[in-house]
Amino acid sequence: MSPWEQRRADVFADALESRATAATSAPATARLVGVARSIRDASLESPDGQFAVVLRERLMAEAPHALSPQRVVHVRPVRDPMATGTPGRQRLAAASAVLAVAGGSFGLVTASAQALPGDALYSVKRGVEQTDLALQRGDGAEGRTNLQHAGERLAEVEAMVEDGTVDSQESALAAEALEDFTSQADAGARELLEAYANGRDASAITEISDFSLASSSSLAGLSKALPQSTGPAYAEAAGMVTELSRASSRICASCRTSGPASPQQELVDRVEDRAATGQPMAAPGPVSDLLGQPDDRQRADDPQRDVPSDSLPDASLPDASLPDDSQPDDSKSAADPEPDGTTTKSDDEPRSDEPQDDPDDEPRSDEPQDDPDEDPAGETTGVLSPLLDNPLGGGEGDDDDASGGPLGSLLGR
Amino acid sequence: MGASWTRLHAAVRHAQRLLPPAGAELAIALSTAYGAPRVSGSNLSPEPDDDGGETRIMALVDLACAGDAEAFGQLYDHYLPGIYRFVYYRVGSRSLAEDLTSETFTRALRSVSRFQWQGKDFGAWLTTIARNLVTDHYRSSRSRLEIVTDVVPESPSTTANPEDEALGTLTSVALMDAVAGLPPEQRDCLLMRFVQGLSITQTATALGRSEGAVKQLQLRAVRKLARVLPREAVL
Repeated sequence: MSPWEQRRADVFADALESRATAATSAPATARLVGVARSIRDASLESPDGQFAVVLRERLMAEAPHALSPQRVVHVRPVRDPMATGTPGRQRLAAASAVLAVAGGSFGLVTASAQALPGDALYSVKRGVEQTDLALQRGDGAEGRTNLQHAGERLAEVEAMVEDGTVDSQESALAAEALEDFTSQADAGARELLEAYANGRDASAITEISDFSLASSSSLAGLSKALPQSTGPAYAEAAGMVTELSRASSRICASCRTSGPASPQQELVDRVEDRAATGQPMAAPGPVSDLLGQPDDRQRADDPQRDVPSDSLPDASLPDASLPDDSQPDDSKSAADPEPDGTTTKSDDEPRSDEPQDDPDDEPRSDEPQDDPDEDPAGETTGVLSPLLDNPLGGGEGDDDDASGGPLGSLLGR
Repeated sequence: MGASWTRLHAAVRHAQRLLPPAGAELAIALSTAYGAPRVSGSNLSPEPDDDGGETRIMALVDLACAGDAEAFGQLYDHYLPGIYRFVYYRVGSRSLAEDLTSETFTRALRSVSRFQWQGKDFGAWLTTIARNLVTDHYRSSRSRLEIVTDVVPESPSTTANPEDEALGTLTSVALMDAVAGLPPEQRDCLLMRFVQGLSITQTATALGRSEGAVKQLQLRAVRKLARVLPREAVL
């Protein structure tokens, strides 16, 4: 092959790669590129969907056996391609799949279950979750799994805080976990809302409601312990939880299993606390708005007044660690040595003795911030919020909102 | 989008510093979550894999080698259309193409744990398996050879692509017929390049030739087609 011929081959190859060939290339080259393009456009065939699904299932059934590292791989020539698909063989493969899953990676998976962000096994844990998620079938199953994983993110952040290890490097990991929480909660809630819309499965809404209750108490507990740098991620997470709580109560007020949304209120207070310290996070305004309390100002004046403690049976809370602002927070401070001391202090009186970096010495102790003007343009509004702007949104108590209208607008895409 | 990409890249780099299986898991989780969906097999000049996509494929292959079934499943999802198309335009029959595609992935599954990554491309490796199977099929059933090769591919509906009105009277079936009539290596080269959407490098790997040779093959093949086709049919 002559150098000249190779040169032309190169020119043609380059012409194929470049986008604007027709205009810039020599006519002969342009025509050749046109031929190549015609081949691409003429090859319209694609695999049948049913075929693709069946083959995938067959491969997945065989995979645990075929991929097992201990197995001495030997490729048998298969005389008839169809032989791999006989029902008996499929059953056998499925059975061996179960066995392999049960036996093979059990140790690693178990060991990774307790891993925290930054641990060597943490990625294994997340990988297991991905697989777990991929295996979910049926209405709402994926959504429930997503919410479960989101809850695990919060538990991880709590564990990091309890370990007292939230230094600057850890705080990035914590922020990431909070971000993952937000997106997993969002995904899970969407899927459950869809399941609810399809089957009117009220338990889907209960699931969201329970999730938001549990999450808000966790988040409230975390608010003081997290470094400032996690502010934005924290605010997004809090915004998401509040939205979910509001969405679930709007759609199906009767589905709610627990009492008034006091943990959310607690959360709002915590968010306001953090906002008031000048952290770069979304301000309390939208969060309070989202909560849909008819009387925000009054609530802000004294959170405890609206929610007498006896109306909030602690036992009903999924997470009993919810700190009570009216009490010295001894249990938490005692359990949490907080060796770095950079982020928290023992917060007996979280409102009045706020950290020194408080830029504006607001009289928070007697008049907590009902400060819509401090709100930097409502950044809290999370992903779901556009869906939540439905005209019927009247806050609490609209029991009959479970009808098609609001849900339709929630799910309208 | 920009911010999340930056974050993703940082995270993937972080993941790659972890132990091989764990790092790969994380890289997959990340690029699956954030990676742009990729269309394979239909680009004339396949875009070089963006970092996320390439990282994802490499991580998936590493995981599959280590025994992860779901990773293999995702590789299957990624490569199925291209492999199927290649086989289909070789054999011209849907049911036969499905059989041979099944066999390709079954073999890949059984031997992926021995797949050596060094310098190899997974898509090219799959294509090599598919190509060998097609060849074996013809070899083992010579009696069917004439019949099958003469079969005009079952006509897919010709789409009126406004960009390519120039295609004009030439039906896609006739064009693919012309491709099928090329010398074997030129034909396979064109199928890999323009039907499957493999890159020059991938095609070279799958054919066991140098990149320079692949460039010459595709030039000659396209020239030959251009000579055969009515001038007004293309451009």
